Amino acid sequence: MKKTRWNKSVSLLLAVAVLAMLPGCSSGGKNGQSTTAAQNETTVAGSEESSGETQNAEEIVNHAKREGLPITDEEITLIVGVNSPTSSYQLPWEDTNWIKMLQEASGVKLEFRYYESNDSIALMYTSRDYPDIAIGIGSDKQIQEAALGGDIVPLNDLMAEWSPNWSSYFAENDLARRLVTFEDGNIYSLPQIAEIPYDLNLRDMWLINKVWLDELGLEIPKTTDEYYNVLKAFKENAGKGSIPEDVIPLYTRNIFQTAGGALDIFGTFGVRTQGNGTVTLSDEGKIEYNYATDDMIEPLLYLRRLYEEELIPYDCLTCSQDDYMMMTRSGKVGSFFSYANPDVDTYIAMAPVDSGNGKQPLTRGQVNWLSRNKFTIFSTCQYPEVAMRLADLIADPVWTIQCRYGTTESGWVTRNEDDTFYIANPGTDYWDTPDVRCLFLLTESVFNRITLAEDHSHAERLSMWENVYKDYVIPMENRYQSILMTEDQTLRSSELSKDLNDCRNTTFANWMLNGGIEEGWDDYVKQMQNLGLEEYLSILQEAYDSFNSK
Amino acid sequence: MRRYWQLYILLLPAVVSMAVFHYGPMYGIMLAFKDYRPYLGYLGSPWVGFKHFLRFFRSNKFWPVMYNTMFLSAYSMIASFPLPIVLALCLNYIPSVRLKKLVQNITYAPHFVSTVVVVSILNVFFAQSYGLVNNIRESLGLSRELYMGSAAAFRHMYVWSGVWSGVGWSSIIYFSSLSAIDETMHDAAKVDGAGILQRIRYIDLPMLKPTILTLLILRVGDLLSVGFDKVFLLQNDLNLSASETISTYVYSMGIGNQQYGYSIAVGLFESVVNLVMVLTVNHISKKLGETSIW
Amino acid sequence: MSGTKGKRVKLSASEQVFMIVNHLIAIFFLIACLYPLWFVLIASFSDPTLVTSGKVFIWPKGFTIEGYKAILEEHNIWVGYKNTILYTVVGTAYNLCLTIPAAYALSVRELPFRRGFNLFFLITLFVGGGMIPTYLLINKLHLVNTFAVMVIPGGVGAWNLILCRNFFSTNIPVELKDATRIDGGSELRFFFQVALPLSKAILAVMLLFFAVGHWNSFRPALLYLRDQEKHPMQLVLRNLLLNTSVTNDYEDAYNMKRMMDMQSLKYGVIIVSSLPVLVMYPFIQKYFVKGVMVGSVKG
Repeated sequence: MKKTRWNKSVSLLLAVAVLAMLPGCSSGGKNGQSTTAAQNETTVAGSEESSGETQNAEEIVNHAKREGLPITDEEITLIVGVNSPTSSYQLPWEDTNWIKMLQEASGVKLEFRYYESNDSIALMYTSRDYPDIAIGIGSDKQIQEAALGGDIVPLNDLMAEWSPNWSSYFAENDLARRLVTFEDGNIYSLPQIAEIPYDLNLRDMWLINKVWLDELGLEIPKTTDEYYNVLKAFKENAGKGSIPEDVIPLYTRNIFQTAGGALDIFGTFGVRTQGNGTVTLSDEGKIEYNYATDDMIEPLLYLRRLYEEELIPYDCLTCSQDDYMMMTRSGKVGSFFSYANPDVDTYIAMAPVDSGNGKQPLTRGQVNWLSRNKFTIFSTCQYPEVAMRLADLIADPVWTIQCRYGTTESGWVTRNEDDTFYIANPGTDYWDTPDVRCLFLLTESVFNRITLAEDHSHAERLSMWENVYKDYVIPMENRYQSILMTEDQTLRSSELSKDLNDCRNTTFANWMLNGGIEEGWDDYVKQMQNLGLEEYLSILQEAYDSFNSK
Repeated sequence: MRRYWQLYILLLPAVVSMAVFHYGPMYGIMLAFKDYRPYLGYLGSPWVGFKHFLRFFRSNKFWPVMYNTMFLSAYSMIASFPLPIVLALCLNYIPSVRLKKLVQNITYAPHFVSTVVVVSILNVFFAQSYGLVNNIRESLGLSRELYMGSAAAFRHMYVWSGVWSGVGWSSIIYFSSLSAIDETMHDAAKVDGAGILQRIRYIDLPMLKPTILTLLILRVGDLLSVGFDKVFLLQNDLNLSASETISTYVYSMGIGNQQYGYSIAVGLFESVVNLVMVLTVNHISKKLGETSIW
Repeated sequence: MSGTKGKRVKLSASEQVFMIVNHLIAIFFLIACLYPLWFVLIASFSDPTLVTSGKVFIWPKGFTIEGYKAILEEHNIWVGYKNTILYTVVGTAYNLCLTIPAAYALSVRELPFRRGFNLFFLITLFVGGGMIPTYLLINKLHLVNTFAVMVIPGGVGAWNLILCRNFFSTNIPVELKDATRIDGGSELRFFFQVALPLSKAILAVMLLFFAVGHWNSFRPALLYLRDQEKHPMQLVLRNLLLNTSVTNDYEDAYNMKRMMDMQSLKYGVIIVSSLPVLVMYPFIQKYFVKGVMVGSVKG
């Protein structure tokens, strides 16, 4: 009796489940159909466009004007998929002056659709429910997949026809062109170009408390020994003058963190470092991973000594970004690494110091002049030429500069008569530009038309890069550029790099806490090899070689 | 039969809602066995069998990650499960309504403190160079410890901060069960000379038992679901050996972003283990003549 | 109320010991939960640098209301509040309408296929189709970016359903039912006229659970809402606190002050966002502190 009832209930359950799944299955099927429909549409649209040209009836087929502003005389609305503003200091896109000005100048109405998280971006790509264009959302893989499905308009021809700014940029910069070209030879998304010297070449500044140095009658340290002595002096003089009782001589954010990490300590001993501890390139152009070479022992021992003598608190090994932010602004810290100088009256940037091991001290490298996937046109967009001209407009120096540094409307940027620009200090107001992740084309020559106000926070970085760090920078040829890899390469290398970096970070942090570097070194190297260091490097090398042979 | 018909009407809206919104999308499970390409659709994407599962099982970290996940989960179950019951019983015998309400109100509030802030509080209390706990240790002549960087301390902090957040909230369901007990039963027991402890044992606990067992069985079914946020926020290079759990591992590999099938496969694996746990425990409970949850 | 009755009766020695220990336990719970909450409160009024560097433990230091100012100045916060209240009220009502009747039906032992249905709901606690197919479904039903998406998809909570069912099967006396049956009353009538009035305690708890669930939820909003005008408060606050890797790498003067603000904001946000639900609690609490059921139907 019990059994039969059980069976019944199971069968009912199954029936319900099957019923429930039916619409699901059919939705899958329909989705397939819509694919072909979408593809058909694209091909139709494409043929229309080409035929339109031959018939010389572009006013009818093309919605954009060939030249001049506004881009179009029609009432055209583009739905733009964007990230939400990264944080509270930014206004929503449509409320920024830059976007308002852009809409006015171009005559195109922009309607923003916000994708709040990586998940919602992933949903957009996997469900193929696209806006007209996307600015700054989508990964290599997502764009690649969508392109395979015919969901994204290839930009090569469109660009040649409608965007002199981008065409000429890619014609002159072959590396940039290759970096954004997908396997099938097409460009599916435009990059953000930011050839800003102080960002391109300088990651963190090495800051030291000038007030305390003066009080103690000390010079800015030139060698690692002097640096050690200065930190020690800060500690020993706690409670005297303006040095607080609970002084923290050096504060870093863990060891391997992009913002505020301790990587510059390794660099100062001549080890080539980049980003958050990624690979670099040797002089022969080979991929190298410097964190498992014997060159590391010396800087590790040095850093350990700072920990051991409590010149750097153990909390640094576990601190969060918030802790780092708060500590470095609390006035208790003698020295730290930072993107910006929070207090120019107190802290001064110092050059990497000489370790005495005969190697040139280096500052950390970073590569961020080109960020892929900032502008995509989807096949659902009815006005691809209008979208392309919009991208061309943004690439215009006037718009690019205002996008990165603020608008003339807000008074942050002043346009001089000779088309140079003066950038005032925006203080702590809301950014009136959309997002640092927006599309723009800021080449070096465009940057050279800019003058930063003296009290602009970037002005200090610029001058420090020119006056302090220029001689310590890792040459561009030695920096590893992120390239498009095949799917297998991406998957395998991300697995391996996770294992390797975990092992490295944990081992190093433990050494800082407990010592034992020299005794443990060989084991560590062996462990890294067991985790597939060789394979990791060879995957990256293979990808890099094939990129270079293109 | 007419009676049943009416009951089915009561049941119908819930069943429909579940069928549409929960069972409807369940065909997505097949992605665990496919290399999903949006442009090929669900049906068109190629089957890859157990590829995603094997990638997970064969990764270097599979066993440590499983161990950590289960350890954290089991520890937090042992610590957090009995306390709400204790709290509920305890308050049930507080004569002062005012005190009872006060304690309920205060213990309920931590449920609303977000994970980010819980972790910040832990940071401030347990920091090595300035934390409250270490300040006290120092004044007692003990050495300062780097709690945030200790694998063992990570587990305690994770579990006990969870107890703090959840104890009052979880006890609400027990309060409500206790309040439904007919007070004549207590009066009769008192007349028979039963003391408080006896009444707890013979009246209150039997009344709570179905709820306790149900929640326990459901809780066991969470064995592999350790929440992501708090672990991730507490994680650092030094406690990684204890704090790498399934969800943080999958996240930090970034493969989920590359291959939807992979994260779905890992999710399915978790579900299956959890479901097996529930079925087993439920079976045992039934065998012992106690509650079954279906 | 069962325990309180005894207060006029003289307690035995062992019971007196019990009462003392019991009070100590209650006070321990009270203090253990109270102090961290106090910390949140004083931290929300203190200079964030002092909080993070472990200077604030008992009283606020460097008193400031900058954090609260920033929260209340946030342009979307009031819209978010309005939306959250709307989602919570409508969503909770919808949840209760779906869940309570179903829970009751499943508590009736003689219901054919009862176990099958129970399993049907139970499984949803463990297995789901995942984000993408759910989105495709929601999109197909034209629910994306609508008010309804915050209410309809999560209509039934299996976990709450099971708890509620348990309550019905433990607390609705079978004899009552048999009596109704003899009187010729229908199941529906029994449910509305007898079972529901007897179950105020669990109704109150379900109300609380669902309402708090809606109040704290932001994930559906994150995935399915596109207009900021529709965002619930929790999402607004989440965006307010957001620290992404971009700001991380580009921390410069524009946002430095704001990032500092965010630190004090972090604690204030807790206060601002949870005050209404904290205030709501005592109103619901009375339904299960007093044990309303007792005596009401005995006659």
